[in-house]
Amino acid sequence: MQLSKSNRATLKIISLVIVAIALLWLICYKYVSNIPFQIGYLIVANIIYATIFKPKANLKLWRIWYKKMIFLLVVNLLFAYLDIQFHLYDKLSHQIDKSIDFYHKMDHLEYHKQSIARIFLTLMNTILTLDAIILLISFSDLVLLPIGIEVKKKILFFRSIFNFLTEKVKLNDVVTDTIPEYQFYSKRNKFLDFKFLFKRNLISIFTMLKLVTEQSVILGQLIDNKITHSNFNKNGDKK
Amino acid sequence: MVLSILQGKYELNPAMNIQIQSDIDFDYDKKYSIRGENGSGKSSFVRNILYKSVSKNCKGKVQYIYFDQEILSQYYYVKAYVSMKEHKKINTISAFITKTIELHKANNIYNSNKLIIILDETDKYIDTTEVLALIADYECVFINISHSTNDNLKYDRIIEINKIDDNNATLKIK
Repeated sequence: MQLSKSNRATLKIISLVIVAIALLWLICYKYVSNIPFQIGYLIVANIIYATIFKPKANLKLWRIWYKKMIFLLVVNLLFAYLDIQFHLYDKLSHQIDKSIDFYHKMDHLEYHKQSIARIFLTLMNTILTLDAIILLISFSDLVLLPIGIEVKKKILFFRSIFNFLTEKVKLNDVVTDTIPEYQFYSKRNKFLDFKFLFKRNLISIFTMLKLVTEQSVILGQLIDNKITHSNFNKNGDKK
Repeated sequence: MVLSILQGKYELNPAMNIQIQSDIDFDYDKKYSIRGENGSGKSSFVRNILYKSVSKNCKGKVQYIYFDQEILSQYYYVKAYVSMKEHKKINTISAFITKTIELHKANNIYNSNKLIIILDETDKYIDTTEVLALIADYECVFINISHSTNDNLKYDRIIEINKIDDNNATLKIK
């Protein structure tokens, strides 16, 4: 028995959603503290991602996220330095033998090492998995889904915004160079001028928000126009 | 000579290459026009070859302004900057272009009156003569990209880009 295009698309989307839930359950719950598993998953996921979407796409994803990872690392190193522990997700704290100072110190270091690795790996694995699953669901699959147009148009809208965001998530040099102060930035070498960096990043965030809002309005209108064009005649009656 | 792009074959984008037939030298106090049909690769040439070359060779030496064809990101960026820094509003793209040039003039980083300015079809928003009036007191490398033939400005060099087929284009200097 041969499946229709619509059934095939539905089956593909359901399978991908199930796979996503299963993988996220493994990464974020079952093996959340299992560092070797997380490292293994990260390596395998990167290889699969690079194979399916080309190494360039994989590199782009890393380029987008590495700064956030470094920031996260700095914050967690600060937590480690101040020895701030989060007992909510801390399983190691129960194993600490607090009666011996030496081990107490060692275990704290171990705790923070594990904590940093866990946060970094879990986050990157989740991003890789979600990104790959969303990219595997194409627009034609979504169009073929046997659901009402009201729901379908919202799904298509969010899928389009996702595409826009992954393409534009980082403002390129052309944009930042427009401001003379920022064009000069690399020359000034003000890496630790936090006020300067904060302002520059805040402007980037405002710009991104404005771009996404603008794009959402245009996309929403485009999708609505397309639906009207395909389903209704000039008199507004259904075709 | 401020900038030079050597002759040879360059990649405009993954699907298209351009053959630059002779070296292009850009000098101060000269106006350059880049022309070509729609889809011939003018904007790709400027974004991927010319701008990269300017950014690589002139950063830290000369101030440069480049208005991309996809101008919206730059517009919102400057709009946010001006509203944060000066508590002022910019409501049109022409006002944004004017403001950007004024910002560059006010922040004369290298204490020189030299500037490289690249306009990619900004004549849709602002008259090119208005832009020239704003930078009249500057020694500029002025590069204007346009496919309109009713550009009445006098240029020192006309750079013409012609599409040969879907994957190839050539660049000639007139």
